[in-house]
Amino acid sequence: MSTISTDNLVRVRGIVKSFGSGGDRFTVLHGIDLDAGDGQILMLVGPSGCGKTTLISIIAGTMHAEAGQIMVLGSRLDEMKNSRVTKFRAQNIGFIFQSFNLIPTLNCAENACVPLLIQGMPFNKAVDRARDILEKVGLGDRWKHHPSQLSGGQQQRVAIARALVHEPRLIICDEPTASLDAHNGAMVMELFHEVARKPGRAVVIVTHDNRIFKYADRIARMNDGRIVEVHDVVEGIVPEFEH
Amino acid sequence: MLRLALKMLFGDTPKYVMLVVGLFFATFLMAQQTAVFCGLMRWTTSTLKNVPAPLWVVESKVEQVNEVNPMRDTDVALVRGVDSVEWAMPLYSGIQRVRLTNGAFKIIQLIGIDPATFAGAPVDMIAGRLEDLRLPNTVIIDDLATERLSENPGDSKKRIKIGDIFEINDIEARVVGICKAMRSFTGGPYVWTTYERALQYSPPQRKMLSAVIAAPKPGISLEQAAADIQRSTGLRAFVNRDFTLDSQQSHSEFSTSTIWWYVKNTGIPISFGITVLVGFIVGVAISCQTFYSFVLENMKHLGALKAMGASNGILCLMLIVQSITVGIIGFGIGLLGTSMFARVALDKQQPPFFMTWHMPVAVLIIIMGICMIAALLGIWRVSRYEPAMVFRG
Repeated sequence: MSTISTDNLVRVRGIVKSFGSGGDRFTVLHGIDLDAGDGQILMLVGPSGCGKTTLISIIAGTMHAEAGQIMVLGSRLDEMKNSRVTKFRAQNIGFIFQSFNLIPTLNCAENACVPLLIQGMPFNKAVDRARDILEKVGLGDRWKHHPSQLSGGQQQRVAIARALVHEPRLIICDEPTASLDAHNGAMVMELFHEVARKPGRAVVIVTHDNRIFKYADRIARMNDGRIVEVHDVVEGIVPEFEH
Repeated sequence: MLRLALKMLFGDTPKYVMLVVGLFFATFLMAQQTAVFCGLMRWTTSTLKNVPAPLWVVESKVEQVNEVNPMRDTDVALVRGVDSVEWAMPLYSGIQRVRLTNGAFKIIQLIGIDPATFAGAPVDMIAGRLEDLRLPNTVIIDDLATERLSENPGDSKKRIKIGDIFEINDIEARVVGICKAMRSFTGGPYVWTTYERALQYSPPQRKMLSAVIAAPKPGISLEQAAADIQRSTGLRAFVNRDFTLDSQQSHSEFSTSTIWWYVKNTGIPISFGITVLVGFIVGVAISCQTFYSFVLENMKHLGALKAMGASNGILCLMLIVQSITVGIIGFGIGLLGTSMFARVALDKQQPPFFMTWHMPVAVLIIIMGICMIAALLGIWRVSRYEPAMVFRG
């Protein structure tokens, strides 16, 4: 593993989140503290329902926390107005979803350029930029293809291109290999590790897939809405988790 | 993003086609039925167009031009006696039956006019001379009569022409002229003759005068002259301006009075109104349902866009652009269909068709309204969608 900066691009403290009301109210996150460093890939792991997705939703600014501080790239998301958070997401965060969420009626380049269009870049310029990034993920010759003409692994590569095209400083991934077989999952993670991980950027990945743990720089295990363990991954050696 | 919105729309071919078809039907039904209704209403006033006279004086209870309450011949003199009247002439107007040489009977709208002044004579002669109407047993027919009164209406070579003869009430009628005229509501062609001869052609009654047509003296308004006639004679006087649907009209005008009579006393407006309403409902139902379903199917993608930083404003704009685009395309095709219908209708002179520029504009506004309703449904759904939902599949 390369040298990792200790500057934290993501720093959350005392995050609390509950759902429901009255007697049906239940708390999903109980005072979470977490950091993601500059140039780091941080993986959030844990059983279903432990609060991983809720936590990345809060880090990504798509959900409000009830309490706690959320510092992302030096900005306090919890103190921002909704419209400002939306703009912040558009400029600074790249997303990779479990089911890719590519728009089926658009070709690869059009799908990949969506974050640039959201920022107001002219269509043709955005498509050109998207084609460059598709080249980097190995789909340069398929930029005109529609998602239905691609394999699952290729679709996730388009999603990676979309997440990187506007050069965000934080990338949020939700189960990026869950819809892929082992071979494609490994290929996608190799590629992701190669193109996404760089100084000045943090990557937060939620995953169940222990085959990809080796690509992490740090792994935080959650259980019942709490971070129960945090381990650094050194030289690709994945620590044993307590159960 | 708007280009992206259009690509999303056009890429979903079944939904896109469904939306366009729905709006096409709505446009076509509303525009075509309104135009046919207006054409039909215009036909009810065709006598006013075909017998041009600034003032129509009729029996005091008459409400519309196709209603004839006979008056005494002396009523012409009464009208002439009004100070503000320049001239006044008798007019006969009634539905009669023509007997063709093969024994068939056809209905006509017989008009009897003053032979000295030809007040109320056809304006646009296609063939023959108006003056020949002073010859014995002569008539001038309109272009519809050349077809309708021929023994074989389907054969264009056997149309009625100048010199041909038919019978009205067993009396010979020889064609000496052909003119252009607007069709009547009853479908019978117009036939002009002199007033006295019209009385001979018609079954005798105690009173035979249908109306008095008149004109005001120079410097006196039509309304003033009409008011003077009503006050002096006890008859009812109507103004007859050149009739167009878009002109400013009042109830003192005979055309307006006639149309209102048909609106109030027949089921025609209800019938057409229901069809127009059906068009509107079809448009709303198909468009809203299909567009809402389109939005629901794309909710996952719209949610992803929202998570990636697309604001509610951008997403709303995308939905509005999609909705208005299908609206304009559907409206355009609907109007094209209506114009093709109009071309056939105007060529064959039936069914009636009359459209002013207001109608397509009104239909466009309604179609845009339908599209906005559809878009609002989608906007309502999208604006309530939490971007975090996208992480939950």
